[in-house]
Amino acid sequence: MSGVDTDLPVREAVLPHCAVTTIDPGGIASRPDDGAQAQAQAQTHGRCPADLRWLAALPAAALSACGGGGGGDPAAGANPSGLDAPSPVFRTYQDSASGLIMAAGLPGATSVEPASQPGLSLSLSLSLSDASRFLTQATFGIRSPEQVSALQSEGLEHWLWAQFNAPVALHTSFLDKQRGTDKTTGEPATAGEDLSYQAIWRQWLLDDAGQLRARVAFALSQIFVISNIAPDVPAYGMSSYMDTLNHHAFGNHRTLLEAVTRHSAMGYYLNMLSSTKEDPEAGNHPNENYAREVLQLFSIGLVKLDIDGTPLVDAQNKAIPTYDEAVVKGFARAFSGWSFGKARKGHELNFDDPDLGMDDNWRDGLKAFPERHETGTKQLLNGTVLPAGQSQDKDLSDALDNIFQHPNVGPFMARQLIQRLVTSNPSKDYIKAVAQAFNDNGKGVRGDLKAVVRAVLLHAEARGDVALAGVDQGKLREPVIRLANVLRALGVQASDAVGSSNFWYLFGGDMPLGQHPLLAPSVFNFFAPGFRPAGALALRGLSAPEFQITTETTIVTTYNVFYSTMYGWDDQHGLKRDFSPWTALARQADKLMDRMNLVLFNQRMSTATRQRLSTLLARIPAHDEWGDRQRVNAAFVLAAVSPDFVVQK
Amino acid sequence: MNKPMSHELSRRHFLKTAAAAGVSGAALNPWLQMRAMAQSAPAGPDYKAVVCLFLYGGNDGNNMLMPLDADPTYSLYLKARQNLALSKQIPLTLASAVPSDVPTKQYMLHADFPQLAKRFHAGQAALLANIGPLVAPTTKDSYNNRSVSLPPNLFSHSDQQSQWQTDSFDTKVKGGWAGRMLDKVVAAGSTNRNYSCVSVSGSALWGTHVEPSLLPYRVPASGQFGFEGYVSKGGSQAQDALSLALDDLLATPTADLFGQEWLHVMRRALDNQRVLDGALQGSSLKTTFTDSDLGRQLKMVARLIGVQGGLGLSRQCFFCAIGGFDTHGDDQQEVQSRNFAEIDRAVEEFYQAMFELGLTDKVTLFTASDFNRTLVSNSRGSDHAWGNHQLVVGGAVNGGRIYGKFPDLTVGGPSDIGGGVWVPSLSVDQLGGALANWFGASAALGSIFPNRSSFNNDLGTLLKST
Repeated sequence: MSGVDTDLPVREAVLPHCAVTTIDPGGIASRPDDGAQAQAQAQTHGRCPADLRWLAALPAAALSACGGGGGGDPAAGANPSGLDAPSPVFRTYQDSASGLIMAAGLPGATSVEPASQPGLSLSLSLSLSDASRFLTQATFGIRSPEQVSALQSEGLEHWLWAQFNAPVALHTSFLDKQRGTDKTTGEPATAGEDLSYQAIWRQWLLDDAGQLRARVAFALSQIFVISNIAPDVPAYGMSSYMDTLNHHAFGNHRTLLEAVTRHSAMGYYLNMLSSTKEDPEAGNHPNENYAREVLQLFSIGLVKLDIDGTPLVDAQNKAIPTYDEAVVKGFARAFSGWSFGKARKGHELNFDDPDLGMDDNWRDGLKAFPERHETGTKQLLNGTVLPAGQSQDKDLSDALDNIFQHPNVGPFMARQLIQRLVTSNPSKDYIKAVAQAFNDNGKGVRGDLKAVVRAVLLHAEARGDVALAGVDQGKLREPVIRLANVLRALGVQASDAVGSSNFWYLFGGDMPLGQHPLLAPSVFNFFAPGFRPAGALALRGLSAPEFQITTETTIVTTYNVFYSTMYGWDDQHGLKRDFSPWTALARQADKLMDRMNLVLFNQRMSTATRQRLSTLLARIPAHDEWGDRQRVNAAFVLAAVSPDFVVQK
Repeated sequence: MNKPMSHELSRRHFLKTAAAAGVSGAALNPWLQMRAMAQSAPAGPDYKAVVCLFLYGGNDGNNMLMPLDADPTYSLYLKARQNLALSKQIPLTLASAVPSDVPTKQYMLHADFPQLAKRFHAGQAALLANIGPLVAPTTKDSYNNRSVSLPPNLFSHSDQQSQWQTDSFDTKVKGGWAGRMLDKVVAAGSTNRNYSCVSVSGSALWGTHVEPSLLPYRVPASGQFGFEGYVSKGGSQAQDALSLALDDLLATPTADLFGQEWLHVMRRALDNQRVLDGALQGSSLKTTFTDSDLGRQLKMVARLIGVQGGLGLSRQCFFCAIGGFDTHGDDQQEVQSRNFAEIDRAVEEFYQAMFELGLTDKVTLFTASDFNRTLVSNSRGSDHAWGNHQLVVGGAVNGGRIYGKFPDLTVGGPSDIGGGVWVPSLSVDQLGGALANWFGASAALGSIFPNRSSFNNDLGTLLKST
């Protein structure tokens, strides 16, 4: 493992998504070396990250060692200038300031640095408002006006390149560092689930270099849903899952799909863990939970789609189902025979009774138990039937290929990623453009998520000022993102070396925002992509997913979070804010509102909002620091519920 | 993975919002509405309410109602259920035989339903055997031959939840059957019309009507309605600058459709604060409720029913829910036991509260769930199925009976379309029709339940006219 330049154990540092696989002798040779197909076939020995199975399909010279090859993604070398340059080597190292382990050279990274040039591209300029809007779509919020003007000078190409290349701190290393020691045994203490949430908020609020990865990983966590609501997923399961999503955020969808499928937390959440082969004697059958939801919710959906996301219809004008029960059962059979691969001392390694109390099992991924794998045929999508007697790895790999190659995946992923980052109701053209990027990144590779993210953020409906005029454009900012936006506008900073926090009310408690990472009420996420609140939006046929959790109830509790954030914080949350740029303007209302307009409103603050803020500020006496702060507090609370802020255009 | 109890409770509290669909509504002037209504008054003589208790995730009904150990068909149950089989639960004494079952057949109810069993034996609760969404009467043969229209996307959580709540099979459907029912019985323009349906469990399609709109209020079970620091206009306390700004915000329209919706929900949240805070101060309900998620929800429903006279509504629907039933794994029995115990206590306390209010025969509660779970075990839990058993509770219920036809538990037998998945013998239309008749919407059954005419009137005797 030459990529590891730390003396920490390899397992802890590098392999949050490691999958143990076996050799498939026919696999490599039997398929053309087309990245998308070969990656599913290529196998490697032993304990390497799942990504490395790609490497066997690449020329041997491209490989320096396990861990080489730019994270192993064939799309990694793609860069906007079209040059085929060697990709940065995947490696991990310890960050000296925080002590956290960083992963660098992840899929999507490229060593060819584009020139910094102002604007959107060579031919298009980037207005101040568009730069602000871009940062609202692509990050967890804008810290200062300077950040916006810096993006204007840097240009989007260079900014994106830097984000794709940015290292990310491993969430599991946050757990390793913060879990402490059990005073009785002297062993590492059980990592509390709150640490997993702290690691997430740390990434969102404090990791300025990798904001786009954080946003995309959060979006992916709302498609490939696991939840600690029920059953309880322990901290290492959750954090290792976030590491997996971060790792593959700009990699290939097929690799991501396999990493998710093999992940212990997903195995536990959707019951692929300990799912056993058919037993006609006992009448048992493989568990259908993962098989059904990976189809319905993670990849293709219930009905066949055109590339622009429109449901295809039959001669009777009825939507055409993508699968039936036989297919669900087929995938369940293909996914059978997996469990945890280790047991603590004194515990037996048992397929049916996996050791849930062992942290390693939550990081290592699921292990194959061939004697429990269903060996019969498997009915898959589009009439494909897997032959009997294939190896367990090959069945899983073939089943995921079958999903990955389904024409629905592009438009399915396109719509949801656009909805999470840009707008609730993308046009057919927008979905089609992103789906096409999914289908082919321009170099013949299917499923390149970096190309997909670029297509989402650079499409004409995402950029420029043209689309903004429509009253049906944009989306409701997600509640947790709204809070992050406000905190980052307040210059939130760590108050210790690692960036710990204590949002007790968001860590699975009362959840006043109605939303919290890894705590969706079910695998259906917090909201459905097609949710339409009855009323004006539904009558116009418009989706507004975030309104499913924006109710008369949560709108009150959310308001109260913002109110207490401004009036009752006292820095008990382990994070500091810096009010000085705001209080300095408290007696210059116009300047304060200008700053707010750029940092929170993307330069689109309405006249009514500005007038209301102006009146509000004038009504609050400000003769001293206390008064200045009162003005800032009130202005932020009002902004946080103003329609031109809560709706991201 | 030990967790503090309070944490666990709040976690589970959130489960209830697992709905795949929901509602909101058209803009209303917050200042015109409900100013006059905070007066508490007892329910009028004509008052009726229907309460939907939704079991999110697909309750394993095969372990809610099953053949008694001594019944000859118990061996079929045991054979298919394997690790999931229960024995020695609560034997049921039926007031009359299940239609089309052998008269000697004996049943038992899950052991964590002791209070519900008492209500059943007292004739105040009934069971519905093998009910589910259907477009038209369906058999195993017509299912296999596809010679009958079927509900689309069977076995999908979101679709089956929606079909239970809308009784509609058009995926573009925008409203629920309680919404359609209320639209017929609560006159347009009535004061507080939108409070005729209240959800204490997040967004829910069931009580929504789209055109003309009837939009349920979502009310926090906690009873905490207030925006922190907000001082309303016209009260004894002078308004501060931020409260004045909020009033101005809510009174100022915006052209943006998403912005309009945001302001609309905010205004409705203030309606709750203004209307219900005042009304609930008049609540004198003495019945105590166990502090559980569902207990809090049904307590709020009971309190609202107790003061409904203040709202001037004689017909109401309430939506509450409990989640966590999607048990594919080996936690299936444990989760179901825990949830059933919570339901048993909360529903009994709710019944006691209705007794205190003198409304037991005016309030009917029924359960619904996405779908049943397969009778056949996957060796740990069980998977998505279809026809399921449900409960109906209240003084108006012709209780002590099991309605419908209990499925033949033979795997691969006449009820089973694969793995112990029952083709429903009763449809949601039939249950909805019985409730709507009792509710006073008999003249409009055809428009509320368009498919109902193709089903028989098996549930015609479920409810007594009260």
